[in-house]
Amino acid sequence: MALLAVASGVLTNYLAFVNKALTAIGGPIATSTITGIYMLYGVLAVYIIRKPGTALVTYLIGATVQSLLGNSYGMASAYVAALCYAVAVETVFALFRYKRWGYGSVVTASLCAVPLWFVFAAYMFGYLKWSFPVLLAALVVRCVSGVVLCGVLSKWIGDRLVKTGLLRFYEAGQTRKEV
Amino acid sequence: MMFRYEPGNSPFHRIDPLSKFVWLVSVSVLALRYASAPMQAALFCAVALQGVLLARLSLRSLWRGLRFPLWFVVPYFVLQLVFVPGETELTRVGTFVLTAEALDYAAAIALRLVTLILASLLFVATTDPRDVVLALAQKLRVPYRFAFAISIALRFVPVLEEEAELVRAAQRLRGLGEPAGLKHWLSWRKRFALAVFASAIRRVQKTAEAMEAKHFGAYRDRTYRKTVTVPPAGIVLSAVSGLAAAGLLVWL
Repeated sequence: MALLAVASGVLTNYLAFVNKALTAIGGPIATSTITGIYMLYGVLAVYIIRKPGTALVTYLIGATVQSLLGNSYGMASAYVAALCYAVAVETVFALFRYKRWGYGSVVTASLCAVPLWFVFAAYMFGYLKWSFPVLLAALVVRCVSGVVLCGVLSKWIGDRLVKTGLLRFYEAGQTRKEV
Repeated sequence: MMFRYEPGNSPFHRIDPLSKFVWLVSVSVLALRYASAPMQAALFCAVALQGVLLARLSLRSLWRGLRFPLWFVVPYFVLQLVFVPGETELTRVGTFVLTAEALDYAAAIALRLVTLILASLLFVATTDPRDVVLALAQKLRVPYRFAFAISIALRFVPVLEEEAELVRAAQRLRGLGEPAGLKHWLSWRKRFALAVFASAIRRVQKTAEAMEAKHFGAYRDRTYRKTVTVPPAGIVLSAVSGLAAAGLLVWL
């Protein structure tokens, strides 16, 4: 969890450059395309450890690390985003009783993590006054990004890591059963 | 890193992390509450003034910290001007109409973001990360295993960067330098990321084994070499900022 939180902290700093470029080039829609990467570390941690509370702890450590490294969005957004992601991801995996680890559950958790933070971000960053079609388009792009860059990618990375044998001490490395 | 802890002896440096966190939350709540440019400008000036007077940061270092986030804030400001509808026309450039409502809202949101970032900057620049971890464990009673995970995470940052540099150098030695073309570049990135991650996991396992060998987590409580205390100035800061925020929320 600590390692993934560090990776997220470092990655968020680098992503800030990409985010700024995308905002300048393509506005709210373009910047929404990389949303999934911000959420990846928490979902990957749950996928590897497979225990209740993993996403919450990982996202909170991640937010703390990002804040103490000085992220470019401020501490408030780091913690609010972390809590939104954690609530959604934990709820979805709890509904699957932390027993289903196929693409279905991982992608659903990633997809559900998008809208909650979008509501808070819309308030914090002032998207609320944009027209409905722009908001809807941004949300759809974020959902697609969540599914692909968080859901599919975390499952893909997790499975690759299992194959290397490095995760043999973790739940993911011990149970190869996938539903 | 956008900004980092700078050791010093300012009033803010001497205050404990928790009191400063209460201050940070108060500022954040106020910044998130108002959507008018004059209110946000006043709040920004108040926080900047605290930065200069209480954190003893020079205007130059404040600018250094805010310079990079501004690349993100300025496009946001322009986006709001374009996307926010309004009725009171100020000027017209071709088909684009600049309205007073859009200008006020865009300025308010841009200033909100700058204030939130500035408040975080003051917190981070005047707070030793180790004190944050200690305050979590000692004052907030966060389980020390969790607090230690944050501490470890912060220690891993330079290690991970070093590891990435090593992997990059090793791949370059084997003729796997950064290739041209998006497809090859993506494939190179994939190999690079997996190599860094695999080596980092190995390091994590070594650390975990070392911790287990030292019986980390065997006892419910642990002892500390340093204890975080809340000084009277911290109580004053948290009380004043909390009450000021509550008062402003009620009256404005």
